[in-house]
Amino acid sequence: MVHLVTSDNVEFVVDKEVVERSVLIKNMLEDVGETDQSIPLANVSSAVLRKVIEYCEHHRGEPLPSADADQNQDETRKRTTDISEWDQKFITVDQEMLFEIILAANYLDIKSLLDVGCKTVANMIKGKTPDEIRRLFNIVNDFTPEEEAQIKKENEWAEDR
Amino acid sequence: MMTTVAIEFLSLPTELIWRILSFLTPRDLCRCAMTCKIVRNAAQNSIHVQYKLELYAQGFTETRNLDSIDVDSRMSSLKRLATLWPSVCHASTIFEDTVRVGNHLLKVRDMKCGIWWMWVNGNIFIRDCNTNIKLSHSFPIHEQFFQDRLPRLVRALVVDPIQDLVVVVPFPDLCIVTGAEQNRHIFSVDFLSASSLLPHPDSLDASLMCQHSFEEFGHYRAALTEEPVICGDRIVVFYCMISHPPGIVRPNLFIQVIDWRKGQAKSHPLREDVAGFHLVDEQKFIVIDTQGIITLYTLEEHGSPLRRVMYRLQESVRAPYYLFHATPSFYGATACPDLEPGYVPSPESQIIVLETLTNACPVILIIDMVIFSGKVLHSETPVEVPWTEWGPQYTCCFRHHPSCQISVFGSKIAYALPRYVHPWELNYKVGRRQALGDHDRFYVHILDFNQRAIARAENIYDPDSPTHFICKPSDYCHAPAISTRPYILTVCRARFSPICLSGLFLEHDRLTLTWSQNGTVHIQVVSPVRVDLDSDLVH
Repeated sequence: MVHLVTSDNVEFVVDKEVVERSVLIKNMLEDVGETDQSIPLANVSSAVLRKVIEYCEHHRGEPLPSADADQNQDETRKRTTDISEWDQKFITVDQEMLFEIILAANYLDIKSLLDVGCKTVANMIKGKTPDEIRRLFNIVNDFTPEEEAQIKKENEWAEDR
Repeated sequence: MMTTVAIEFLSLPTELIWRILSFLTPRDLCRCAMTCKIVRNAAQNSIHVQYKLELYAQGFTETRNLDSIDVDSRMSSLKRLATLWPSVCHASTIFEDTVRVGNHLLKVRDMKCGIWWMWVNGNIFIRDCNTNIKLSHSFPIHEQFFQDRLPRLVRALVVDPIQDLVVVVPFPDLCIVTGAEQNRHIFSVDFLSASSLLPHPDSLDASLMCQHSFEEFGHYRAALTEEPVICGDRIVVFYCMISHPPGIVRPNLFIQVIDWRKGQAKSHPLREDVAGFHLVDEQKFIVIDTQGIITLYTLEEHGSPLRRVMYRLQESVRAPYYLFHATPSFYGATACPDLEPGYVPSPESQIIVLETLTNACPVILIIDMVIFSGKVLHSETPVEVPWTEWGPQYTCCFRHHPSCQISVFGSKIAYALPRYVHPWELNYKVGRRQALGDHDRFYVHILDFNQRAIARAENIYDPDSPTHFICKPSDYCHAPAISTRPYILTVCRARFSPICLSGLFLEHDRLTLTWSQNGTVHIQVVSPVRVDLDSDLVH
């Protein structure tokens, strides 16, 4: 069993097999060996870690993606934004939690969870106009009208034609 | 007490924004980059994002050949491809050879990935025109003459160099049907390896029997109405059954849909009075009938082909027969990886050219393949689209002369024309004088109909890219003036002789011309060389 302590000082006791889906923790455990000492996760809150552990529990035992799969990043990832049914249900959370999960997955180095999060954001953007995307993510348009006209012109070619 | 700042999209680190952007389609990417400076800068600073947009703009897809190459090198080779055919260029000869084929009438010939082949009187000639030494292992340096490895009487023969495949249809036997509702073997199809002409190692059966179900007894013989077409694992053969002695009834048309690797073949009737045919990919084919309707069929795993959508041609471009010109298929498992280019034209960026075979006013109609992708494929009942709803937007029409050779590659068409004649000036009444005459020289015009590249060139100033000459059909007197699609015009300022010209083949970075005379075929491969427009004017 592995002890994890979150940023808000909550201790989690998790199966080693489950927590080792995080490459960060896996490497840490390999470095220090068997220990009863708890691992502090200063960047992750208890609410987020609970979700992350739920994900890791569900996917326990599945093969981890190899290290060099990430090297060739867009080759393996660019094609699909499909998310499995369970993952889709799991990731149906509010926006803030979604971005927290993405950040945590990035910090803890859980590639499959990071992809689920990023694909979910990409799916939210799909088919929306720039204005709708701004409203969706609370983005303030910081272009001057001239800049905006120019940018609009430069990007028009990619619209369906 | 802890203060928490709400996490937002924009508070994500740049590498995570990149990761999200990498899952977007080019259109969504561009829309996202228009929202604010942070996202725009992120998009502009990511080579992966920029590479994806460049691929999309040029209308290419990558092949597995590029898997081990890093994104920076891929980007520079893409950029090089984009600037390869500037509006004015010269051509330098990179390969030249003469193949002796004997005194036969020219029959079927084609070219793909630098491999030229010709089939004449039961003999097959294959010539590797690649200058890359690495490639010369794929095919022997000189033409092949393996008469003993081919059937004695060949009706049709097609080659796909990438799959190392030769498809041979021996002359069909007479078929005697003694009762109604009988299944009979009507012809066989052989699958050979192009490099050895021995049975192809990847096909389950080296020779496949094709069956046909007859409704009435009698004596029949299968007649192939088109050359067979290879597209990946799929081969399609058009045929009709002619009764012996021939009846007066015009025979119905059928297709054999073949999976040459699995050794399966199935026959299906076709409704149309087919006047032209093109296999789009392994799942789709289009036919044009004598009424001027282009029908898209999808091939289902089981069951007959389904009619999905029908596009009606404008009356002024209808003809009794048509010829489709299109990009060769790059589908299928590659048997000769060295031959496969790193980039191939993506299906929706391609054009097909419909050449009308008529005496009245021959035209070529350039059709955007995008009309055959996307949602039309899923319509359950066939939809008929009138000309006004697709023609002006997705086609371009030029007058044509049958002596002017055409070749299509991706969104480009190469057109052999006399120097000062542009496609829109061809006039059949003036006829041969303006078309390829016997004493003139001709120049190759390359017209690029890639609408994304045109829109981008108009709106984004890029000092690295050569100036493209964009033509708007409305600027000129088109006849018949039926569409408004712009295109990029390139004139290749090398002079070629029209005497005995027998073939013109456009590929990414080269142009191959062949002349046939006195039992020989002369092959010349040229590649574009950029010229300074100003210095050219001085000369």
